[in-house]
Amino acid sequence: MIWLFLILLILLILLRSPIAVALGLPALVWLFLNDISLGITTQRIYGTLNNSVLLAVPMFLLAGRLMNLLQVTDRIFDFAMAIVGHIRGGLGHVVVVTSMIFSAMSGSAAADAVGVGTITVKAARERGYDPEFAAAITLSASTLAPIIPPSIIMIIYGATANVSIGRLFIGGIIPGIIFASLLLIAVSIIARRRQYPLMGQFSFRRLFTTLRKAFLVLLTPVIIIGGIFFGFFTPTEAATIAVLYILLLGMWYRTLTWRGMYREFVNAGSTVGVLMLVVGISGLDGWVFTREQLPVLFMNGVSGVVSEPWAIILVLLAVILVLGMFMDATPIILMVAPVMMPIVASAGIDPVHFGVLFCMTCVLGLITPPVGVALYGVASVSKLPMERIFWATIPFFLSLIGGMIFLVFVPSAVTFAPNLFLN
Amino acid sequence: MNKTHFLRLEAGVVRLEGLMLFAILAALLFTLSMQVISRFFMDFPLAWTEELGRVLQIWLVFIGAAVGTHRCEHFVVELFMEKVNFPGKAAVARLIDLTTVGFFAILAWVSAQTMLNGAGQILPTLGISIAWSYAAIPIGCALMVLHFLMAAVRPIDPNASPKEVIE
Repeated sequence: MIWLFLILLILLILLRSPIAVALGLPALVWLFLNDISLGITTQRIYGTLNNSVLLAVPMFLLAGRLMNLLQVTDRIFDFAMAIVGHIRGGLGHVVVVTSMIFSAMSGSAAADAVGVGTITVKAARERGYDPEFAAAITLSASTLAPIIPPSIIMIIYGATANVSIGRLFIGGIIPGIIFASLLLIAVSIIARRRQYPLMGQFSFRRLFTTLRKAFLVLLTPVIIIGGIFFGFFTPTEAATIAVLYILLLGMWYRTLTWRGMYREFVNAGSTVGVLMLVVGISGLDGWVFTREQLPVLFMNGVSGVVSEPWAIILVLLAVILVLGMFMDATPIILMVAPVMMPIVASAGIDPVHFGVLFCMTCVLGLITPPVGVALYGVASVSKLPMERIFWATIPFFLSLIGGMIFLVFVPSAVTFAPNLFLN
Repeated sequence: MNKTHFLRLEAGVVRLEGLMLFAILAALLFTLSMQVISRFFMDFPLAWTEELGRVLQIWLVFIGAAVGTHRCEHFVVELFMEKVNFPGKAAVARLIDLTTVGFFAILAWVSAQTMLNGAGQILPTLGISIAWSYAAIPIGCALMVLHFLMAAVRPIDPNASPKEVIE
């Protein structure tokens, strides 16, 4: 029976059914064939969404939308330019630093790719860089958004797998810094090889003026991460404060209009709606999977092949990476996390460690063809073909994979900070 | 009634949904702000904020998903249908559209039943029937059915090439 369910699910996905329907229809059929009341559907959907932890998703999405509306990205970009712009291959470094700061305010790779990409590709053309290089580094750096807190997919993972979102957020900080450093190193090597021009000198005066312009914007990540770090706010509350703060900034900079605000509220609402509809319906699937003992079947399958914790992690991540090439992060988390969590628990793997790796692997899928939201985003703002951007991304992609492998074998790089601060 | 009447009706519904979405998000922002403010600046945390937040969340999801349906924002995997050709492909695509409408129609019907059956239950801190919260599901699903049906009537994409619009 469960095989019929899974085959129907995959068939519907392939035939371009909305993911919500592809997840929901097999469950309806399953309930009908098993003679169980269809009322379960409503109860499971309601039960999954009736969770205040998930309220962080609309708030962080709204914060990201408003930030793009108020054009604060330019201020961050100028500031990053003043810090690292003078190094050879400066623009590449600037993109990584801008993305890092942007990541600490927004929770979605796609928002980062579009927000940062719009500026960087234009800047690259003006300064005589290959636009592919700028697009590739923007794309690679957009993976930082869901790793460095806040992160929408970590919220979804935390709610699905029942792992503390505060711990996941704090656990993402050190890996985020490691990934950013790897990207900076890759930029340096490529810039030296291709002899990119040096541009301008470092100047304290410029650093000071750009810092003053960006200062109020830079306080946003301090409020969000600091508030969660020291236990003042829950992630949901931190997101709420961030939205209020950004609205105040918009009034201060006089870039906020009623019309723009209304538009972004409605845009954020519809994005949240389609995203969380899938979350709700997946709660129904999770119920069916548990009834059919799918996690146990999967666990026996995996433990028949490998037994070491690191080997189990590698096998699970490989599954996620392959799925990630074809699907968006949220549906993968919702379908796969409930099935994988029992294995993770029984192998004694730290759920925060696995969760951070899980989210990062999903994100790598967002930048790879054939299906990658961030890749589409960068391709559309840079007006370059996807293939060209992806080939230029390969060196960065490999350094990110290298970082992943390091984190698989060194769990403390993830778990150290949350254990220290949130106990 | 002809096609333009339906389109005008749908445009009105979409405008109403937009207003509702704005109001829900604004109310959510207010509720969650009150939660923080009451905890830091008042002696007692407010009891109702958490529950009201969850009620608003259900409404946000289902009205938002309805607007998302009108904007064709639902997650789909395009790859297979874009790259592979097989006999009867157009018919299969139609069948998928039909199952989509059917799915949300069933969900609307079933959730309306659940809502009515459970209406006796009261939300503890707000003191209102849980049906106020459950109602978002049948209403949202019915609106999605409307938008999915209208997708067959509506010109496919405002930016589409003229040829497609004429078709």
